Amino acid sequence: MQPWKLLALAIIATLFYQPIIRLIALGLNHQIISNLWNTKTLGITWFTLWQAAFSTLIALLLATPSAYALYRIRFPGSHLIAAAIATPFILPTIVVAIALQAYWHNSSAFAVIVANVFMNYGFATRIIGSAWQGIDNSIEEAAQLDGASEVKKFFAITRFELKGAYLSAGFLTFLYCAANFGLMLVIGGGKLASLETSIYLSVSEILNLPRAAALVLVQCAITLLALFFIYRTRMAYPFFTGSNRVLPAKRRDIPAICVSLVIALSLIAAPLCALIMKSLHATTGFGLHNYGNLLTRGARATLSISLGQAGLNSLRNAAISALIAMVTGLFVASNERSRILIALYRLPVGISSVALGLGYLVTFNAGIFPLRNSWLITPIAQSLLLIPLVIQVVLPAQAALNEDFAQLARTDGLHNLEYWWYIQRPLLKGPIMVALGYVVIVSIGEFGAANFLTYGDQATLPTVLYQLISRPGALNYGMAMAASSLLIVLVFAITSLIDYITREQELV
Amino acid sequence: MKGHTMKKIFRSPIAITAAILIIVIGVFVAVKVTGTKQNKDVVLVTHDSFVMSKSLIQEFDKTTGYNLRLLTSEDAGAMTNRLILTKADPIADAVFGIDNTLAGEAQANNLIAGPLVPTDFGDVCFNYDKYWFAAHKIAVPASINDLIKPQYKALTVVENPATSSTGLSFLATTVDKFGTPGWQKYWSALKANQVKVDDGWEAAYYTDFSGSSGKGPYPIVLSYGTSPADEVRSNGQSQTASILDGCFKQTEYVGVLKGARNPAGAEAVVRFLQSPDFQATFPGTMYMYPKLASAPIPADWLKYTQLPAKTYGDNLDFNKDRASWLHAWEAIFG
Repeated sequence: MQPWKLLALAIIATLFYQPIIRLIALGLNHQIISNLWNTKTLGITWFTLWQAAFSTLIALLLATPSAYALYRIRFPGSHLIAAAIATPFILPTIVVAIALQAYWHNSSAFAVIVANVFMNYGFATRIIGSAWQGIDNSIEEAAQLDGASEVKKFFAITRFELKGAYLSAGFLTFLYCAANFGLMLVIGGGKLASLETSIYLSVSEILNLPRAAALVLVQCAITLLALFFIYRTRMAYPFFTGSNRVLPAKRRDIPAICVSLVIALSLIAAPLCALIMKSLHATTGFGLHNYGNLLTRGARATLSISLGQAGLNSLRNAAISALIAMVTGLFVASNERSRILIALYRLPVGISSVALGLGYLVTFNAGIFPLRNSWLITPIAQSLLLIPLVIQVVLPAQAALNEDFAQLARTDGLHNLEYWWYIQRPLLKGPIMVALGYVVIVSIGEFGAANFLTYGDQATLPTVLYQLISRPGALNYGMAMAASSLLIVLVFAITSLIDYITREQELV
Repeated sequence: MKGHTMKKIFRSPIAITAAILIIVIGVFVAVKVTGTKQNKDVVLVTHDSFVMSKSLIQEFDKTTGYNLRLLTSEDAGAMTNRLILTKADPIADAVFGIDNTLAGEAQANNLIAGPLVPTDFGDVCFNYDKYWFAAHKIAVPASINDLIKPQYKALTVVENPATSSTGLSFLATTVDKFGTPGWQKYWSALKANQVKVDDGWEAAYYTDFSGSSGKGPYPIVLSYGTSPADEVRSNGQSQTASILDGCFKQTEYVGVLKGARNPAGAEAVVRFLQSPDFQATFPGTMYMYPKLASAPIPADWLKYTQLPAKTYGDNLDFNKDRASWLHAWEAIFG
């Protein structure tokens, strides 16, 4: 199997480490200190950190009652609500920004924090909730008998058992909030700058590559540190998911259910429904006019291509990046013992898509591999950001498979790939489908890299949406809202499906 | 049986090597094929305000035998930066929309083969809302000097010179008109007079300005000398007028990109944009005056707009000084 591993190493070296190292090298000149240590960079770094930290705290706080109500206990409709609040996390960031702006037009730091919480609340709920399901409830029941209240019980017992889940959810949410490019660009509206938007603007506005590269360095340091803590947390406080200790809802659960319903309705459902309603109100009156305009190029032909064509580009890119990410990701995951290979492929999760897009732009210009000229550049760059996701979903499920199978297979003389193809693949069908679903959604919504790498007739849905909302005008704005509404419905349908598959799996 | 053959394929070194070779070669070929354009294609990259009608594109294709493809980029500044980043292997053959604030940067980076040919021009001027000033019984401003006076407090919206070429034009106007350090003093006074700074022209004009469709709260906006011709109301009068003292003359160019894959086609594009047929479309679609003197000017423009007697900033070296201007500007507004 060595040749395949060598190929995998060559791929990640050429397509990920080469562009990132070249980009960072641009920043390693005599100006690096002055680029890093000035009030502007420090201010941007500080803002990136505190808005992420603050958003994380609020998200965890709101997620606590919801995790209990939607995962630990069961009541009619809890599945649907769980799927609904998980939707924003995988919505394209640009769509989230459009939805929140349609609801509440504001470009303060507070608006950014609201947007962060909107995106990550369902995600945090899911992690904490899954861990909550795994807790043995006998101690809690004993406390119950002793007359402890729900809240008291939580602070006395449950919170220790959920420590690992809270830390995991916290660091991950922090990571996502520190790398919220699309949200910050649109909602900040040029008045707020995070590390990622500053990287982008350093290039597109002032063309200062050393400064951009220095900011990439800071961004990498922050995300790698967060990843390190996530890793440490997993080691120190392992928590189990998937076991199904779901309890029927009781009368005393009503407050928790009510609180989560209120959060779900006011924080998640209201902006999304408002967007869909607004998209039906065109300047010409109530109806589907905005949707009809999706096949045009906008007011005064703002766009090079229509939103319909951009959607086709996005689907084409998603198909290609999903193919690359699934094949490569599953291959890497199947080599469980090659820890270095797996680590090398998982690291890209810590690199912002903006940095990768910029790295591609400065690396694959000419020479023997003129990738920049080809539209394949976008799906290839995106696939590298997706592979860690595939590994993340498949690896734990794979590890949970009975080790005896592997022993038996090896004594029978089955090779790694053969073992994977004949034994693991059929058993891992569920996780593989889940990974595929996420990969497709994330690829369609990817904005940071595509913003650098696509232009003209290769534009993707998120880049076209950004063009539309950057050029005010009722027609363009209406089109952006209509397209966003369609994406929200689509993503909700896919998440519900994923949710369904996951639950089916758990019952097996 | 099937399992047995699969086993063989998984293990044979020749099959593995062949498969890897096929994958690698396949990727190279795919990149090559998807990255190569047709011989007859000529690509014109433009900023996002460029408009060319289908019939003109067809006319170009028919008369030259080429196949024109338009590539709409971001605003002119971001487009120029993108072209500099990709100059080793240009994304287009010709470029339209580099203006006199960016030409120096383009030349210094060796972006253009041959000359940058001027195609059109316009004046960056402040506009004011005549209705608003009549309703509030305040005298209309006559010069950019007025904008720092107390009676015009919190009435003006401008574009950020770091993100908008319109904003940069006005910054250059103040540098030329007031000198150093007079221009910094002027901007400090503008800030004290509560000027609003927007990121781009569209937001300033269509959202914040009171005299256009957005009906915003600001009756003075940094825009163009020709904008009043688009605000003519049912009574036959324009709602807005320009402040003629303190305008910047902006000139836009077309040029052949160095390293263009189809330089002959790019030359044809440069010639076509200078042709009478295309020149005649500048006022109607891009709100600029055609460079060609014989090209027709809309009657509305003659009626509702005036050309300023004197413009500022044309003689400045943008490429050399822009960074230090912006630095000083950000020190005031940052």
